Amino acid sequence: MNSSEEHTSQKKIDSYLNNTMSTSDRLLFEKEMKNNADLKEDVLLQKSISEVIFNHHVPHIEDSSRDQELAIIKKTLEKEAYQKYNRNIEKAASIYSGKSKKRKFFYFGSIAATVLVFIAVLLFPNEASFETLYAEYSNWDELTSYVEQSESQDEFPKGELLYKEKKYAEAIQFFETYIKDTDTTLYAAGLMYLGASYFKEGDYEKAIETYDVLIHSDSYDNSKGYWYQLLIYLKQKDESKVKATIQIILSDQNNYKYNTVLEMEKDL
Amino acid sequence: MKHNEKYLDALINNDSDIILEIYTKFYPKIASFVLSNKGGSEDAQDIFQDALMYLIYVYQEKSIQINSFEAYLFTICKNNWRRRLKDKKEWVTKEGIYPLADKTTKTSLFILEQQREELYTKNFAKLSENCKDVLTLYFNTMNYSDLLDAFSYNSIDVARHRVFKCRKKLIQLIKGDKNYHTLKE
Repeated sequence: MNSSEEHTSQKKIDSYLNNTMSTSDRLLFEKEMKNNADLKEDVLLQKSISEVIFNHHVPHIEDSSRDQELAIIKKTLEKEAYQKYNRNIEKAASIYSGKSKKRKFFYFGSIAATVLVFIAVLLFPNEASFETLYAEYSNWDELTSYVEQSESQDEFPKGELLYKEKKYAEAIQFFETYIKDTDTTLYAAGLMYLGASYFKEGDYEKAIETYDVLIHSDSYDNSKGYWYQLLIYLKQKDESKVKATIQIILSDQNNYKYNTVLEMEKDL
Repeated sequence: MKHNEKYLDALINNDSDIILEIYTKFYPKIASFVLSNKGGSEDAQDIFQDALMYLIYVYQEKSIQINSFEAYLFTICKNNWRRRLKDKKEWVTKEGIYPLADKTTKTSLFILEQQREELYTKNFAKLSENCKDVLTLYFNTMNYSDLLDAFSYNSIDVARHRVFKCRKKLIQLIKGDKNYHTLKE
């Protein structure tokens, strides 16, 4: 195409996109586009540039390549991996929004304590029931005993004894070393005792981290991690995390304490 | 590990603590922007989630490099909100034309438009300053005579020729960009 033809073609594209063409010329031009893929590509690209960079509203033109692009993106987003990313983001949004509400609430901390308590009852009606649930279901003193099961040369019973004697700091030290040997058959049990020891020492963050390790391990008992995290969140009265963890446990009937959590959900 | 990678990896590997950190660090700024521009908190949440999905998409599918996670996230959210405001306006004036779409379709549409916007603006930035000014003025007024005064051109033909040249250059740049072909595949 020479320069003069290019100019003429551009004039046509302009009047088509600006909607200043007569109906008959428009029909002719659309027919021309049908038979000339390059022309159609140029028109669509210019329409798109005009809309995107210069914020113009351009009349709708059938654009099969755009529809195809859209279909490809949609297909990707429908893949399980992307659905999972989306769920994770939504979960974080819900936890954040719960925390954020609480932060706003505590902003009024200077108000007299009695008023705070009153508002707390109004805003967080679940907190009292969290305490009740925690008292009813917490089973830190019923961690499975492995004294009988462990092999004679296994050190595990020493740690278990420290925990039972409430020597939690020493138990933490013991189990931190113990779980480094991940080949042990009692690796998951070590994590359970370590998490519980951290919890008893008041280090909830470390306890939750430890149960995260358990959850992501390939242990048969890994879903126990969710249960102990749930107990910690109940203790912390963290409403959004309690709810999120309950949903996780209820997502699979094989999860540890599935039926208990089902009952718990009804109570909430 | 760079911060950008830390955040992107967390989104892909479901590191819930870091994803929460993304919300704590960056969401308030986005929410404040949307709320001060005719939006509500639900809009802000939606925009923010779409932007995170966009980042995952381009990181996974297009292997893009990001210089500043925060700046990029903010730009994506701003673009999306601007587009939504424009669409809302069009819904009011042309009610019924746009069918109600499900969430995945809406997010897909946003990803497509954001990719195009990045492709066009990146190449628009490569034009000479004069070309940028000429095209901006032309597309804002759609009138060649306004270019005569602004750029002291002798005739409408000169102005028309200049717009033609600059637009042709922009189209060439876009068509020559490897992302143009990826978008079209």
